[in-house]
Amino acid sequence: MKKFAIVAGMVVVIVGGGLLTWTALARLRDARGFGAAHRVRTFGETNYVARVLETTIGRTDAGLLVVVALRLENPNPFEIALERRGFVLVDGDKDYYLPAATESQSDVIRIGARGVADNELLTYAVQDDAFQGVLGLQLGHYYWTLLKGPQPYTPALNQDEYRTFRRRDW
Amino acid sequence: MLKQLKFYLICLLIAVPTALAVYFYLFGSPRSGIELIGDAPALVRQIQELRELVTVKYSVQKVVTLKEEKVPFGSESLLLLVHAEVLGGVDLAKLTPADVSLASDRSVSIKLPAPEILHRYVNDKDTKVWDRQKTWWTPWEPFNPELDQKARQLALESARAAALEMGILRDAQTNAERVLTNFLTAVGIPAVRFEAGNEREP
Repeated sequence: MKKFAIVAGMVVVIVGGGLLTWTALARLRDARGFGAAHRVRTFGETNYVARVLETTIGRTDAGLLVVVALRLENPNPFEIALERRGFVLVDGDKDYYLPAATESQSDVIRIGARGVADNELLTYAVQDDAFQGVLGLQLGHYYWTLLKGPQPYTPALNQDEYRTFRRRDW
Repeated sequence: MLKQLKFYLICLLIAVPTALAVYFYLFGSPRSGIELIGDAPALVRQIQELRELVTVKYSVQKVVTLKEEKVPFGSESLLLLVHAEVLGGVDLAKLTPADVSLASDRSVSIKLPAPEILHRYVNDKDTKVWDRQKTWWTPWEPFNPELDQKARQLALESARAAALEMGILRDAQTNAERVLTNFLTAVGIPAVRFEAGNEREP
């Protein structure tokens, strides 16, 4: 009986540890995909490198918000100007959202020659059902990157409560 | 015996001040204060001409919660009591000559630019971190030193939304019209009329 308990305990520990390791590895792989650098091209044929740093969702008096933090790198030997409205957010229902420029932000993101915009924030006011499917961000002319996977997510967020993710499986 | 006692007493008298001197040198009060380690010159990054007429200020207090999910496991959360100031008004730089017309009776008709939130900032004096914690079972995860700053940025978003909800744009428009009417009346304009401008920002 004692031997059986030991064996059963070991099996539970091994299976539990294996599942935990598998989950951790899956999340790490997902996080790597989320934060991968994308070489993109604008409508004006300008190349730049974009990397999503994190996605923050929150609820304010005006409704649900999505704040995307981007790192934008200009590998060109000249200044580039990226229109903020070019970074369109789209949800699973094909609802398109444009970023709102705040007072301290301009409509055009300018990055000097071989310069970097390290923490460019894009703020979107989205509908309550925006997280029921994928969430994608348009980068440049034809490139889309996923911010969230297809699994539905109903955020239990109170007023002025925010949550930050660095992966897609939420 | 007395000679031995005297020797120990002298040794003690020398050792105690020496130990105290060493202690205060290493851990004394001058080091516990704020030390200026650099005196970098101020650098003007950008000079921008502004023609903003700020006509209303909303002081908004918010309790903001930010939870950061760690990879692969765990989370860190911060509860911040934020006091933010939101300033509304009109940007007179957007006023064009076509927006102002003078009638034959010397009355002026103005099409004011749409009121907008011109500035918002966190009042550091009244802003406090109420609570900060991370999941107990991920002790290896370090606290994110930037979480506080991030929470402040998000609090500004909340303050902006709250101010819009409370009608800051309406107040900004009303006050701007009153200020301009008073000013133009003072310089001899008999009547000032305001036409509907562009759409207000959401």
